[in-house]
Amino acid sequence: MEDGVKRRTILKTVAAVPLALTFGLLASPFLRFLRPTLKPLDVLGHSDQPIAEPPIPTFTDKDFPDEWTCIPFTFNQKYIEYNPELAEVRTIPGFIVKLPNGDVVAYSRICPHLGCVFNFVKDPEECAKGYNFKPAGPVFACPCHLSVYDIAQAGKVVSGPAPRPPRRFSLKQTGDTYQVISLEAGSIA
Amino acid sequence: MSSSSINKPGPGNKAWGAVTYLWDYFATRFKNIDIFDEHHQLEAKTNPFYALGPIFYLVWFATMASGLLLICWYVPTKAAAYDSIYAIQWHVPFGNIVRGVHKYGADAMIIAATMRVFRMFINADYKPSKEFNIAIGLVTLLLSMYSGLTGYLLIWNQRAFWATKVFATFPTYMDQFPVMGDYYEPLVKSLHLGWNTAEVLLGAGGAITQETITRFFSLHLAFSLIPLILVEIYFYNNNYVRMPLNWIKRTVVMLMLVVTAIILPAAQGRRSDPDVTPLPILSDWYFLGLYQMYKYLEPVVATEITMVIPVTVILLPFIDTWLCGPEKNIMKRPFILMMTIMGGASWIIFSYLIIINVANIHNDPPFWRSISYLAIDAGIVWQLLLIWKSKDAKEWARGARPAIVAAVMGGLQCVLAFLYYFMALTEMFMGPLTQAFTYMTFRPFWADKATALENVTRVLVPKGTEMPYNTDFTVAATGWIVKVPNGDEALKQLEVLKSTPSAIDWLFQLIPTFNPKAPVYQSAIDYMVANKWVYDYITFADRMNLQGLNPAPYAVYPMHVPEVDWWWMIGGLLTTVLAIVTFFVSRSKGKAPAVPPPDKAATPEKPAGAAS
Repeated sequence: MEDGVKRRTILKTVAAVPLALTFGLLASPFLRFLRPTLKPLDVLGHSDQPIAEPPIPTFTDKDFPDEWTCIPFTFNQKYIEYNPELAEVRTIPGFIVKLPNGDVVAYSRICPHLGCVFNFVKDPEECAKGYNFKPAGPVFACPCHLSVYDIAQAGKVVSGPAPRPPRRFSLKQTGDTYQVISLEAGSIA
Repeated sequence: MSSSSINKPGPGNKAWGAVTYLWDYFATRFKNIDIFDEHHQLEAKTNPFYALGPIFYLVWFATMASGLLLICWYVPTKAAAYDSIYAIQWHVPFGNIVRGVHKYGADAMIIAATMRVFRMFINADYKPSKEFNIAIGLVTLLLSMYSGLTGYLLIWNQRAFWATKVFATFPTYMDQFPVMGDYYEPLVKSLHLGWNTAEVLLGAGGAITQETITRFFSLHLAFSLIPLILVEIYFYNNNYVRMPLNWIKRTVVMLMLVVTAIILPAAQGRRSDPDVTPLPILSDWYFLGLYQMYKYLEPVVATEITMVIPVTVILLPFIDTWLCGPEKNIMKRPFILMMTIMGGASWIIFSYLIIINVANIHNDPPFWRSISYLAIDAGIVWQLLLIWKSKDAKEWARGARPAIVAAVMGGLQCVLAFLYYFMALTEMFMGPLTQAFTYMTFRPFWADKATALENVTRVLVPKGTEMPYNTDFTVAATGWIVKVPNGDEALKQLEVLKSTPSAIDWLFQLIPTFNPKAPVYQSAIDYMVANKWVYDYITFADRMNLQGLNPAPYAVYPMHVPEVDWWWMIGGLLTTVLAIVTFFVSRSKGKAPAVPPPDKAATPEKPAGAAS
C-alpha cells in the first residue's frame, strides 16, 4: 500500500459526508422503532406526559386507624405511544401515609435516585441496621443505594445519594374519602 | 511502514504535511489493530496471557452455540420467561449444562477481556503505534458486559430486574451534565440524550415491562451478531488465523466450562416482583464495583465517572507514550503501574464491600478519594524521581516532556481540589459554583449596580426555594412572586437593572438566548439574571458568609472539609510543584554543552513509532 493520502480518498470522503447525512435524515423516522413515544417529526422532543387511568385508588379515614399507618397501592398511568395499541398503561407503586398531625400524604414508591422501589421503615433501629442512618421517626428507605427520605419533612432526603424527594401524588379529599388523582410530573425515576 | 519519512511536511507545504501526518498516524494505528491478539500468535504458544484473545474468541463461540440451543426453549414474555428458564434447568435433557456453559461462558468472556486489558497495560502491548488496541480491548469488554446485562434480564429474577432498572435509569443523569444537559437549556439546546437513551433501553415510559424484555432479547442477539459479521469480514480480509490454539487447549477451556456448569449449576434466583426491592440487592458480579460507587456519590458525579472511566482507559496509552516514550518495562513506567493497581484494586475492593455489606456511605468517601488520588500521585512522583536519576544532559533533556505532562495531570487534580474545597463548604455543585466564580470575575464591570442587583435577587428568591432549571430566572420568579413581600416592586427594579449597559455587554450578546421573542440579551446583567448566575453567586456568597449576613437557614454554612480529604488535596499540590520543579531542572540541565541539541532528544519515540 502506498503511504500518504490519495487525492481520490479525500474526494471520496468529502463526497460521502453529505450523502450519509442525507440518507441519515431520510432514515430518521425509523427511530420510532427504538422509541415508540417519539412524536412524528420531533426526533429530539420530549414524550407526552402520562395521564391517570382507572381504577383510581380510593381510601377512607377508617383505613388509617393510627398515625403512621402506611398503605401500599398501585396507580395506573397511560402513556401515548405510536405502537399498534397507541398507548401503554404503566403501574406506579405508591404509599399513602397518615402523618401524626392528621394529614394524609401519598408518594410514588419509585426512588428518585435510580428507580428502585423503596420501603416504608417504621422502626429507626431497623433503618440504622440496614441503611447506614438512624432517623428520628418512620422513613422511606431504598434498598438499592440506601437513600432515606424523611416523611415528616415532606420527603426530604436525609441520607444517601438521592438528588430530590420522591414524587408526590395529588389527593382529592371529599368528606372522609381520599382519591389519588394524579402524579407529580418528573423524570423516569 | 516508514510513512512519515516520505510525506514530511516541507516548507510551503505545511498544511498538507499536517494532513498527511495525521492521516498516516491514524492509518498506521488502524492497520495495527489487534482484535483477538492476532499479532501475538507466536507468544501465545508459550505465554498463556497472550492466548487470552483466542480464548475469548473460543468462549464467545461456545456461548453463541449454547445460546442457540437455549433459544429453542426460552420464552421471552413477562409471564413465561422465569418458568421457561426453570424448565430448561430441570426438565430439558442436559439443559442445565447448556445453560451453565452459556452463563459461565459469558463470565469467562468478561474475565478474559478484563485480564487482556490489564495484560496490555502491564506489558505495554500498545507500543509502538498500537494505542488503539486498548480501545479495541475495551470495546470487547464492554460488549461482553452489555451482552451479560441484556442477557440476565431475560431470566426475569429479582436481581436482574432491579439491576436493569438501575442501569436503564442512570443515563437520565446525563441531562444534568454541563453544556450537553437540560440545565443549560437557555444557553445550549439540549439533546435530551439521557432521557432518550433511557427510553430506548426501556421501551418507553419509566417501567420494565414486556417491551423491555423484547428489546433486551433483540439487543442480546445483536451484541453478538453484528460483531460476528464484522469480525469475520476482518479475518477474511486480513487472512489471519482465527484460533491459534491446539486441540488440547481448546478441550481444556471447554471442559472448564462444562465442569463448572455441572458442579456449580447456574443460579436462577427468585422470580422478579416489580413491587418489592429486596435489601440488600446486588447486580451481576462485574457491575458490583460501580454499584457500590453509586451508593457513595451524587448520582450526576457517579454517572460522569462511569463515562470518564472508559475515556481515561482509552487515553492512558497515549499518556504513557508521552511520559515514557518507547519504554516497555513496567517498573520504568510507574504511572501506568500505579494506575493499573488503583483501577484493579478499587474494582475488587468495591465489589467485596458490597458483597459483605459493611461499607458506611457517610464515612467512607473521603478515604476513597484520598487513597485513589494518592495512588495516582505516587505513580506520578515515582515517574518524576526516575527523571531525577538521569545521568547525563541527554537523559535530562528527555525528562522535560514527561515533567510537563505530569504537571498537567497534577494541575487537574489541584483544580478539582479547589472546586471540591468550596463544594464541601457550601454544598453547591460544580456547575453553579463555576457560574458563581464567573459572575464574581465579571462583577467589577457593573460597579455600584452589582450590590443592588444582588439585593434585588435576594428579595426575589425566598430562602429554601427549589430553583427550577431550564427556565429563565425572571419567568421562574414571576411564578412565585405572590409569596414574596414587595415582590412586584423588586421585579420592576430587576427589569431596570437588566437594561443597564456595561462595558462587557458585547461578549454576552454573542450568546444566543434560544428565545425567539428576544434573540439577543439586553446586556451582560440580563444574561447573568436570566441564566441564574446572579442567584448562584448570592447562594455562594451567603453560604460562604462573605458579607457577614448569615441568614437563618444558612447558619450551618460554611461547613467543614473532612480532614481525610486534605491528604489528597495537599498531595496533588505537592505533586504539581514537584513536576514543575522537575520541568525547569531538566530544561536547564538538558542544555549542558557538548551534547546533541535537546529538541532532537526530547522526542525519542518518533523513530521507534515509524519503525514498527
